[in-house]
Parts: sequence; C-alpha cells; structure tokens
Amino acid sequence: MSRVHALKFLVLQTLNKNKSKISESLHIEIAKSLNVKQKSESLILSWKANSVEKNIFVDEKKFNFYKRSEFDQKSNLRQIDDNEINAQNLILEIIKLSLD
Amino acid sequence: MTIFNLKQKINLAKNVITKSAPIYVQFYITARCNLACEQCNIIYADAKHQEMNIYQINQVAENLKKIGVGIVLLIGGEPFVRKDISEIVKAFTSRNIHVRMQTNGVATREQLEECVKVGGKDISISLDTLKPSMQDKINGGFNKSWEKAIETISLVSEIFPENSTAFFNSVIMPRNFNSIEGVIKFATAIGWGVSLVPVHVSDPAHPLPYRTLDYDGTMDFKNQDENIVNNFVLKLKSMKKNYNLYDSDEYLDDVARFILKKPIKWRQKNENVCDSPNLYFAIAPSGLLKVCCDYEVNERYYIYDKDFPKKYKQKQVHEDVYKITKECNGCMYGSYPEVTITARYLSALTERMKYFSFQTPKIKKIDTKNLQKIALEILNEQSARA
Repeated sequence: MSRVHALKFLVLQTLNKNKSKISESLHIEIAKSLNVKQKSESLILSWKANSVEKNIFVDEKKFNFYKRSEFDQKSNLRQIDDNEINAQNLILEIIKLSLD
Repeated sequence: MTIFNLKQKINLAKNVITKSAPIYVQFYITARCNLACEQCNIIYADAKHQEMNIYQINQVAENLKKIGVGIVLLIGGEPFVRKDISEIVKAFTSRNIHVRMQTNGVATREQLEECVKVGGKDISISLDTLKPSMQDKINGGFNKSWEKAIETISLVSEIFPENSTAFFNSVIMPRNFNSIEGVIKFATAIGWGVSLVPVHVSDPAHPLPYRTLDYDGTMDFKNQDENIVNNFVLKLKSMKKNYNLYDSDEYLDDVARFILKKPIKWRQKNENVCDSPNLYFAIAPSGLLKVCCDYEVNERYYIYDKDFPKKYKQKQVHEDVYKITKECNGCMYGSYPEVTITARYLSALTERMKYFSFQTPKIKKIDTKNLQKIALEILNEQSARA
C-alpha cells in the first residue's frame, strides 16, 4: 500500500477528466512528469509545464486512503466524494500554475 | 464431482441463455494489500474508497441474490487482509451464491478453515512463475513471497473439501513469458487449474485503475516477434489436451492479438462491446457499482442500496453502463472475456460444462516440501531442454 501512489493515480485520473481545459501537449507533459513525494505531514507534487519545473504542497489530511470499516463498523459515505472534490480542486490549482 | 449445486447450475444456465442477469460479479472488498506487485495498480486506484462494513456487505449479497447473480469473486487488494473474510464469504454462500476467493498466499490456516466452514470451496492463488526470486521481484521485492504462496497451496490442499476447485491466476509479462508453461505443468501435477491474463499497461495521460503505469518500463510487451507469440499461444492451446489450462481457445487467440497490439475479437458477437452489466460487473470497496475493474459509472449506484435491484431490473443501470462500454477498446482481464465467450460460443460453453461436470481437477494433498520438489523438478526439466 502506498498513499503516495494512491494520490498520484487520483491526480492523474482527475487531470484526464479535466484535459479539455488545457492543450493536449500540456496534458501529456504534466501527466508524464508528475511526481509525488512525502515530506513529513505534507505531500509534494512536482511536474513540468512547458519544460518549467513546478511544484505544490498538499495537506495529506485532505485525502483519506485505505480506510477500513471492519472493526468499528462505521462507514463514511462522503469519503469518495471528499477525495474526488479535493482532487478536482488540486487539479484546478495545478492547471492554473501550469498556465502561469 | 461438481462445485456447483443444482440450483446454482440452473441459475447459471438461465443467465447464459437470457443474458439478463450476471453470471459473475467481481467484488473488490479492500484496496489494502501486503504486497505491491508490479503489474497491479488497483491497490492505489481503489484506495480512495472507504471499505464497506459487514452489514453493508450483507445488503450487497441480498441485492445480488435478488438480481440473480451466479458467482461472486472476492478480490482486492488482498482479500485475506480483512479480518472478517469468512463472514464475507458467508454473506454470499448463505444466499446460495457461489464464491471464489482470491489470495496472494497470505491467507492463514485459521482463515481458510473458517471460510471452508461457511461453504467456501473455490480459491485462486496468484502464481506467475516457479522461480522464487522472480516471483519476489514481481511481488514488489518482498522476500519469501513465493514460499508463502506455496505454503498456502499446501494448506488449501489439506483443508479444502473434496468437491473443491483451485486455480492459479497467472499474469503473462515480459519478465515471466518463459515461465508460464512451467506454472501450467506444476498446476496439473498437483490437481489445480490455471487461467492466464496478459499484463495491461496504461499511459499516465489516460490512466485506468487496473492497469500498471509501468514505472520502470519493463512491463509492456514492445515489438514482440509475431512468430514467438503465435507459437507460444499454439503451445498453450495444444497443452490443454493434457494439462489443466482453463482458458478457451478463443481467449488464447486474443491473448496473442493483445500482446501483439492487434484488435481483440471476443466482443465481435455483441457489436464489439462487452456484456457489462448484463453478464458481469464489478463492485468497488465502498459498494459503488463499476462497469468492470477499469471503469466507474458517472451516475453513482451503491449496490447495498435497497433500490438497486429495482434500478437494475428496470435497466436504469444499463443505460449508464452502455455509455462507457460502447467507447471502450476492450480488455483481456480473464473473467470478463471468458464469461462472454462462454455465453456466446457453443464450443467454449461445451468445454466449460464438461470441465465443471466431469473434468474438474481433483486437488492433491501435498505438503510444502514436496510442492517445492515438484516445482524444482519442472524447472530442471525445462533447463535441460533449453
């Protein structure tokens, strides 16, 4: 299990859903260069846009991965929505920084 | 000897004929896994879902019964990391839905015994090679993961009842391309079956949940020699006469096409779309309906929702799924193609009926040491031939 890979996949998938907002070449450049690293409480996303290195810090607490329900039997019906809304906001930020 | 009871057989036959209720549902009960196999991405893609609790899973089972599902595959992640795995098995078996369990070999004796007690008698273990170091590499660099799988194979052979069936699920990758024949021979020697899936790779710009992103560029088949691939598949097809390879000829021909990056043909009897959600679909750990392991539906349908059977029977679900399937280029994820082929090709249907009625391999009781000895003998024989 890797929260880093999980976030990377969610971001790539959300980027693909928003590809109409940017050119095809920029979409491919961001997707192929996207990297996620863990740094203490934060995750750092880095990518290239028009050959320029960009990065952004992400609060890890915004994303809930690998949540189980088998012991406390609680289930959070909002989790998938929360993750996807936060990923969408993150992608809008990444697109904005890429176009700057 | 048969693994299906009479009611299950009648239900499966009805679903094959009418194609209006799923033969097979893939249920991803967790995204958690103790390994990080290089060909697998679903443990990352499904991490965003919160897992259902056992109450919700019982509701899922009840709703699947209402729509007439025949078989449920419990998959993950690694299903046996869930401590309530036997309760999950029971949720389905108690409703006369046949369950296949999948594991990478982490299942313990206690878990397997509990699952058997509640009616589990069909299991699939991931095994891609007889070479321990290669399997450890494939599994993400975890030491002794091959040996752990062998221990679990031995446990299954000891614990599972006589009318059980056990399979190896093997992914064909460039790394283990020459190891597949050995896995089939090993399976046959110990009374197990094999089904094969070619590795699926996705482009980071168009990521799909089940397909590896191929981080180090070693996973994808690139510029494969057509003769080598065709001869490989011819060999597999010829092995079916004497070895326990489960896959249909139609599927194996498509394996060759898929590796060679040619269009696959298993959907051609259905206007080049698959049979989701009529003959199969998938369920995410949160209970969300998925078209298959790769695609979600834009509209959210939770399978545990009390209205789900009504929405399914009124084909409200179908319209949303068709929007996805008609745009898809197809996959070779084993079960989906094989279910379609079985339901639409008479030769494959006949083969399946024979397999599950008269030719189901009988699992042999073999301890770990002897399993390792058999594997080594097969490897030595292959080396001598090479």
